[in-house]
Amino acid sequence: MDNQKIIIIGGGQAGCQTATSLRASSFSGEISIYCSENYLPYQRPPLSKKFLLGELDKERLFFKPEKFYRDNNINFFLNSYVTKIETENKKIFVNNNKEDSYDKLVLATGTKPREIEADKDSTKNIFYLRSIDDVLKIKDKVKNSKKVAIIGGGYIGLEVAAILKKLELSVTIIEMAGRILERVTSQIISDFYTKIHNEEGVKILTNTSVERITKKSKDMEILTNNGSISADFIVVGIGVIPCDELASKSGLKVQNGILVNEFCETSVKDIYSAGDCTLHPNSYYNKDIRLESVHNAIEQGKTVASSIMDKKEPYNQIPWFWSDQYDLKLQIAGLCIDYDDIIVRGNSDNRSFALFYMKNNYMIASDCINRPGEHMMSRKIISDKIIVDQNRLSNDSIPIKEVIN
Amino acid sequence: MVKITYIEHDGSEHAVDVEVGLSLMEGAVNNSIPGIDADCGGGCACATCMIFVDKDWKEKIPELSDEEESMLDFHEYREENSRLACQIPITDEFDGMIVKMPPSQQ
Repeated sequence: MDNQKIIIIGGGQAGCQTATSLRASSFSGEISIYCSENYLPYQRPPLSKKFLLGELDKERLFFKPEKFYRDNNINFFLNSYVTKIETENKKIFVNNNKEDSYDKLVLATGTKPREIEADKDSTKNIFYLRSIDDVLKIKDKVKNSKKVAIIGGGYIGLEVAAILKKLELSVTIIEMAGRILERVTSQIISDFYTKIHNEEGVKILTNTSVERITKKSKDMEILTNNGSISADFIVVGIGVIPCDELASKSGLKVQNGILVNEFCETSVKDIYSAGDCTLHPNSYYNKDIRLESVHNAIEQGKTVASSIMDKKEPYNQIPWFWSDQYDLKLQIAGLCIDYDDIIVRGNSDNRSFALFYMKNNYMIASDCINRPGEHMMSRKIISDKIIVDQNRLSNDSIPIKEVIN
Repeated sequence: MVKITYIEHDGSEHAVDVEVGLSLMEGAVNNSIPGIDADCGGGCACATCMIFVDKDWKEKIPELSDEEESMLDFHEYREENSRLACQIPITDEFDGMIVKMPPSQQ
């Protein structure tokens, strides 16, 4: 094992975790990470939050200082696109001019923002948010702007709206669906955030689809089925696409992400995959899922490392996420799908409440707003499949820790 | 820079120099000290950076917020002197501080 050479493609959270976990399990072979960006691994969640606001310096986004990679003998190649994998010869080709060979390969290629069609002359005022460079460009644009339109009312769009409002821009969110966050949460949460954003002065247009984006003198003009909207610039947050083309053209099975089993093994021997780019089985929900989540990237990185080290441990996790908007911390556990009942604890008027999503009397997910205790408790209830007395759960005068006995 | 000593649950000691202004969590992570996971990167969202701060230092660190308290409450190894390392910014007064880690963060 220790003479082996491991190549990791992708220098994000999952790639970094894989390398760190390998070294933590005393793997002493060679590790090389090829990263298409020009930065060492960094945290993405603050990009649409404190980093965009300017409350967190770029230096504090990085997981580890450069010294860590040197001390741990991890070779890091920045600005390096892997263009081809030869699975038979166990070789990769980088930037079309370099090749490298591996014993085990890890694909941690992440996702990329889904793009929107626009007239050619308008693209330079359209921004996406996935990387440090994306945010630096937005921050620069904000300086000389008054009005922004955000296309997409998902978590990224809403977080950006909250920050840009704080930076005193006029903000309009354009959402195609009947409500914001429709894909990921219940009507109650959508209504709550709609109210909060409206109170802060953010305009939300639902049932509004973009038909054309064009430039009209200096302004951007967005033509929709609901009239036209003008803005100095546009931020687009309409979801992401898994970066699975390299895997697909190299013969790996791909289906809305790189297919892996519970050990993060792909369909090709000695190739593993971790993070946002994987479609993986989840035993709690009995289906294959793809997650855009820090927690999943960390846990799958650990799973890959244990599989490589021949100490296979199946990945078996309740997903969890978080979102910060204004003074509200939303913590989400589980997947809000196919529920048959919702239990409410607390009152949304107080900006502090929790929703528990139930299916056949079992809790399958929760949304907790400024309720960290409820969030932590729900993760335990979901993972241990605890049957809870629903009257006690909804009774806010019983401390959450005493709800289960 | 101040000197902080992080002690793992098995007794391994790591004495490191840490920049004032960073959090106790960043001080550990930047120096590759095992035992602090910090999954959420300092957002007080995950409770995977729990530490024990000796009572002699209690006066010098910021008070526990309700949010931090609720997260800590669910940590398997919670003690009276538990804190989340991400919620404690390092000041000049921390020089010589000793911080201990739980057996695990899960």
